[in-house]
Amino acid sequence: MAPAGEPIMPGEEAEVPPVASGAAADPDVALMLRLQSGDQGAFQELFQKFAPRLLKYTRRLVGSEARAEEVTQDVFVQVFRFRQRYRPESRFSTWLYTIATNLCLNEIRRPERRLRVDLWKERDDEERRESPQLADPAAITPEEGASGRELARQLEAAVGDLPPKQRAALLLSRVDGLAYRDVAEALGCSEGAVKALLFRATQSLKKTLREYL
Amino acid sequence: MRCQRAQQWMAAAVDGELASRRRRALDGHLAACAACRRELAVTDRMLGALEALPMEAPVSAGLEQATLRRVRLAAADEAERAPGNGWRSWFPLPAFAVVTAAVLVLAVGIARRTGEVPAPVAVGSPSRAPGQPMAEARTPARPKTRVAEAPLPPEPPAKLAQAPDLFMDLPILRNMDKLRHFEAIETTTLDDEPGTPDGQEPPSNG
Amino acid sequence: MRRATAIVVLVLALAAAAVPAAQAQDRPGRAWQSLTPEERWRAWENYQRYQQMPEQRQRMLERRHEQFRALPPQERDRLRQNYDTYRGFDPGQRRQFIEKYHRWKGRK
Repeated sequence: MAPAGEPIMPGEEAEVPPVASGAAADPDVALMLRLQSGDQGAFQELFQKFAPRLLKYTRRLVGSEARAEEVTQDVFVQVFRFRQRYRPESRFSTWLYTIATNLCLNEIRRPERRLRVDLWKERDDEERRESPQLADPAAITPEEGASGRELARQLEAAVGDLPPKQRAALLLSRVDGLAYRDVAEALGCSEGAVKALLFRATQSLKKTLREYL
Repeated sequence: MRCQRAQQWMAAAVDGELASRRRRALDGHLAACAACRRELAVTDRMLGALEALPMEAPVSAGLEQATLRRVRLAAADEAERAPGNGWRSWFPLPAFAVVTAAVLVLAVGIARRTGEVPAPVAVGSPSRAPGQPMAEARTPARPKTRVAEAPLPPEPPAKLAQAPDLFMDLPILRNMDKLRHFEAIETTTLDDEPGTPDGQEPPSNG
Repeated sequence: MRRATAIVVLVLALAAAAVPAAQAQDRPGRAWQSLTPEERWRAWENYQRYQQMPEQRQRMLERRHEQFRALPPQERDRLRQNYDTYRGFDPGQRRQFIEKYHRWKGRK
């Protein structure tokens, strides 16, 4: 795995501009409106745009590649089936992650179930390679790159050990970059509850990973 | 402010989601509390490492095809329930493909009851000429993996081409406050360093 | 009369030549084609990071870019030099720098 990105200078100051309205600010809303009016190409565009991120998210949340792929399929089928329920006032990505989170949490709660019929051939392992980490343009020493890789490895494992809702809140907020209010919408809880989940998750991770931080 | 409250606010502070009054209170506490400054540094590094985790996974053509296939079936379902709503413009399916899909659904349903799983069947595709017999059940050709990595494109996206400096200097833009006051920050002493520049004792943690 | 005309033409020609030079100072940085392969790769990677950011953060960075461009060249170089210095820090030095930053901010 390549080293992590630019050197982290945390505590970046924030300027919070006025929140733009969902429809005006979100180009994916246009795709959903096209989908609602019957444009088949719009569905494929949405899939190709969001499937890589969604697959990574579901994989981390449900903990198994095969289940993650099934759930990812389920998410997009639901996007199609319930396309008329989508309201353009909110971001499409929030709606998508809401569906995905619900399906993942349901999947985690269910006992192991038989996979659906695979209609496509099993791929070779060499084709199932991860997208590579962005190379670190700012890494100065090999040691820095190696310690960053080790931290990332330990971090993935520690995130996988978190309780499901904490894990979902953390992934949505920290990895996928959703704002607190969007995470709250995806989890079906209040912003205060999201902050509490994130606090518990980060405390837990810091405890587990202190020697690497 | 107590350390426990400060630690509760740290993640929100890193995100810039802390109200300015609380931010000032936190900054005031951090100025006086070495333990919390260390804790914040640890929090910052961990959150930064989280944000640097890869966001995407490669999506195989097989997954895409399977999803589109299920959506076609869902579209066909909708059309049966509400005929005449123009579903044919959705994912046009020749008649024999619709029959194939129905047979497949029935076969899977029967197989589940009997405990056997039918062999994969190629679902009719829009490109097949009408009237052609359905292919024997066969495994499809190995799908080409669509890897979500992004090699340098021959032509940059418009935004990148218009302002490459914005992206070259992105790390600097993200950290402008620190970089503008770099020297002043560097010469700031911490509680565990000997003395302070102005000769005063640093405030206690209590 | 002819001399006066020639002088006017010369002045106008000089003014016309000065305009592109003045515009060049306002031109938004270097063109993609003038970047080295390493610079292009770095810009491309940062572009991908930018694309993954929430829109609010993207807008913020664009505004900062405008502020950065408006700085005198020496000041821009100073910030770049400071960033290079930070890149040279080992992890312990970086942690200490961030602690000092928060201490410094609290004193402001």
